[in-house]
Amino acid sequence: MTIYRATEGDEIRAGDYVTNSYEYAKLHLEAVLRGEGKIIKKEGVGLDELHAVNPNEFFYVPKWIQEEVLGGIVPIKGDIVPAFGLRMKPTTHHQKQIAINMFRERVEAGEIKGWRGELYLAGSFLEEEDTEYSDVDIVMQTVDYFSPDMASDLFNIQKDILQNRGVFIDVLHKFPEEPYELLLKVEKKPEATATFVAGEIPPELTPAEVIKAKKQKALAEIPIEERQRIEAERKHRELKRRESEEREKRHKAIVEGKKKPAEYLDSYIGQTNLNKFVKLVIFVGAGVFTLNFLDRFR
Amino acid sequence: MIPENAPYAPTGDRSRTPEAMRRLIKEEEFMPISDYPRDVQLDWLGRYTDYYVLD
Repeated sequence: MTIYRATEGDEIRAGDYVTNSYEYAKLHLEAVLRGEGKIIKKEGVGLDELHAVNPNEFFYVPKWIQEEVLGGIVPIKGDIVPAFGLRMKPTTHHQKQIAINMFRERVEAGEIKGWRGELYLAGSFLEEEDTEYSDVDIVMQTVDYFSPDMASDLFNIQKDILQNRGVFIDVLHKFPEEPYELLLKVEKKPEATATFVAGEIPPELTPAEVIKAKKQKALAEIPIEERQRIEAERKHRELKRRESEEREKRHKAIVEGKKKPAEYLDSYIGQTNLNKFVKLVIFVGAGVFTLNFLDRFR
Repeated sequence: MIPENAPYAPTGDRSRTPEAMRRLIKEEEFMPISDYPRDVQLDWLGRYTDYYVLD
C-alpha cells in the first residue's frame, strides 16, 4: 500500500508517524504544520511494516529494523502442532494442559527459538457457538483471531516466547469469576509426566472428561463427507454471524451521523415497508399538488 | 529541515527515533497490522472514518 506523511523533510524514515490517507495527511499539513511543508509518499509498504496506533495512524516500522531487533527470527504461522513438533491435536482440557507444559519445557530447553502464531488460552470469551467446544466451560483453544483489546495480552505471551522466557498465561484476570475457579481446579491437577500417545485418551481424566474425549473420538470416526458437511454448515453459520455484525456496525455508523451516500441507500433499503410506503405517498402527493398548482398558470 | 539527531516530532507528531522504534519492537507492544484478522485490519485502515481511501 501507499503511505503518506506531512513533513518538512523529504523522506519517510523508520519510526515516522504516517497515514494511509492522502486527505488525512493534508489535514495534518494544514492544522499542525500550518501549511509549511509538503506531503510525501512511499509506495509498496507492507501491512507487516505498519504498527497501528489509531485508525489511519501508524508507525512505519520497516523490515530491516524488525530483523535487526528480532535477530532474524522467522515467525511460524499456523497450527501449534508444527511449533511443538508433536504429532498430536489436543482437544480436551487435559491434553491441552499437557501440550502447554511440553511447549514450556521446550522453550526453557532452548529448542524453540522463536515462535509466533496460534496460542492456547483459556477463557469463556474464546468460546464459539456451535463448535465442538461449545459444551466446555473453559476452553483452551487456538487463537486465530485477535481484537485490539486482546492483542496486548497476547503480545505479552508472544514476547515471552520470542525472548525464550517460557510461556506465561497472563489473561486470567480478564475472566469472569466462575470460569476462573474452574481453571484453578484444572491447574491443581497433577501434571502429566510422560507417556501420552497421540489418539489415545490420556490417564488422569475425570469421568466428565472421559465422556468428552469419547465424544471427540466418535467425532473423528464420522465419515469424511459427513464431517465436511458439518464443517460447511459451521462456516455458513460463521459467515451469517459476521454479516449480521457488519450490519450492526454499519447501522451504528449511520446512527452516529457518519453517513455516506451509499449508506443512505443502505439505510433506505433497511427500512420497513410501511416506512417506505408512507414516504412514497408523501412524495407522490407533493408531486401531484405541484402539477395542479402549476396548471393554474396555463 | 530537521537535524539528523533531533527528536523526530514537531508539535502534533508522534514519530519516534530509530532507538525508540527498536524499543517498541523489543519491549513494547509492536504488532504489525498484518497480524490482525482482515476485518480488524480494515478498522485500522479507517473503514468507518471519513478519511478512508481505497488504494
